[in-house]
Amino acid sequence: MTQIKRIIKQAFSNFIRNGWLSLTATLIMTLALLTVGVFLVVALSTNKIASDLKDKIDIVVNFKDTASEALIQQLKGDLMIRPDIKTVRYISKEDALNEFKQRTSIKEEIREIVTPEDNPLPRGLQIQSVNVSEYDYVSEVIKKPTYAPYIDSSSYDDNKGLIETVNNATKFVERFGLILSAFFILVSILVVFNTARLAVMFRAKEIEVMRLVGASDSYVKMPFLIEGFLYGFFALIIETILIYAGVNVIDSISSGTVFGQFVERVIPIYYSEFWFIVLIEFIVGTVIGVGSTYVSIRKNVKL
Amino acid sequence: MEGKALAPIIEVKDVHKYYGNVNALNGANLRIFPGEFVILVGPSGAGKSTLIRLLIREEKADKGKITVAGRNIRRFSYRDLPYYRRNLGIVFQDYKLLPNKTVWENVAYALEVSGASDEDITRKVPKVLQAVNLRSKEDAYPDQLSGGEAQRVSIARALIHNPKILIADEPTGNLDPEASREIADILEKINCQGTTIILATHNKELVDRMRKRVVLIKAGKIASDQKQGRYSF
Repeated sequence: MTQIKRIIKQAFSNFIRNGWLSLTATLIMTLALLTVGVFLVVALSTNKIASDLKDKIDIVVNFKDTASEALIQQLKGDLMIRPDIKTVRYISKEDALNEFKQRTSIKEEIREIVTPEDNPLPRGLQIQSVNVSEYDYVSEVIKKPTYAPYIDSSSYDDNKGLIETVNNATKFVERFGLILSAFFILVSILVVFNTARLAVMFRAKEIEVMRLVGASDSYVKMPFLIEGFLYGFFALIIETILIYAGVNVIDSISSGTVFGQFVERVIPIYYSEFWFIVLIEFIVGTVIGVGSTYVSIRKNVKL
Repeated sequence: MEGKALAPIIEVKDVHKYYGNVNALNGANLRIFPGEFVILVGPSGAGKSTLIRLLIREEKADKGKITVAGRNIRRFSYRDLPYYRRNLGIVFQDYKLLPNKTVWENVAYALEVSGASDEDITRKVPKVLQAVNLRSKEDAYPDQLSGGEAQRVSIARALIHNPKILIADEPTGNLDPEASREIADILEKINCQGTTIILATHNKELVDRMRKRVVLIKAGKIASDQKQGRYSF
């Protein structure tokens, strides 16, 4: 216990007394975490926005008045089998009318023409899917001879362009984000590894002396590893403050602009995922800080 | 010498050490008895420092056997070394102090690594600093000390475990004559308390003044061994 206390005390005292070295290593770690942090915020936001958007995309299939209820239910059944299809909602003539009445974008006079007694609005199925590519399947099913003659129209073709855009955008962000984050993490590892290597080489003589006065292997190594942990830990604190402040500054200067609309959506996501982001960064910081110090000691110091 | 009735505390038997093609030690034989003060002299490159490096197990002999306190030190594993070194006092020409630690902390460090209790440390450190006359400098960092003071810290650190053997490699190499005399006096005092001392030095004045056992190493061998020797080769 005394030994553990001493090792920790030593790590802190070394961290403070090697002020410049600690500061440099911490700042470089901060930069590394900053790239990871910004990526996480952007990736989480685009993912969330894309999935929100996907939720809003649906297909409405409208039936001719000749279509029997049984046929509509049969189609509903056919669609529900697919696991990716989230909901299939039946819209009765009354539902259609209620929705029509609530649409403020339609002129009052036109809205009044349609009454429950004289309701030309068709019955329909509103289909939502987890996966937008599933809408291709929906489009194929409704073209089958069983259904085709009874179908008045579907919004598939109207939404097709949008569906594809969202599909492609999500894929792009996922792929590009992954490559970018892998790149940044690699750069951070290299930079931090080199900083740790310099720190260890700079103090190789010190390590030799420790060994010569009879310090055991772990007694020499542990304070260095804890110092490596501290670089990551303090970098995390600085970085979190920077991102937090940054998000708020961007929020205040971008409000009212087109970009502001995006930012408005990002901020709640950032707040709701705050601890998740901190946790990921803590893991990244610890692994890089402790890991690169460990490798540096092994490679550069003959113990 | 009455000590010769005892078993030697250090025995070097036909020791060879090569660095590439250079034969740094070429069949050295030496026996040192408890309580002796042995001065190693010899030209640069003769093998003094090699012998010391082998004694503190910074390196291993290529051939031959070195026994310290009855144990063959060649057999020590990497893990044994810290424990072996805690029983030796080692003093270097360049002091080898930890630059980020104060005088007090440098001395205390040697005790900390061996797991000594805090009470033990607060009791022993002032005593040993007193012995080398450095109580007033205990909060200073190594770069705030003179060469003589730094070397005294290094001796204090070497003494903190109360070692049976103290090995000093050119401890006065970087010091002026007055500081050198001071170091020699401290070493003699330590020797009087029963610690075996091995001192490698080039300092003629020191050797001639001390009149101790002088072992001359030349070309990797013991060339002469005088009871109350002088500096000559």
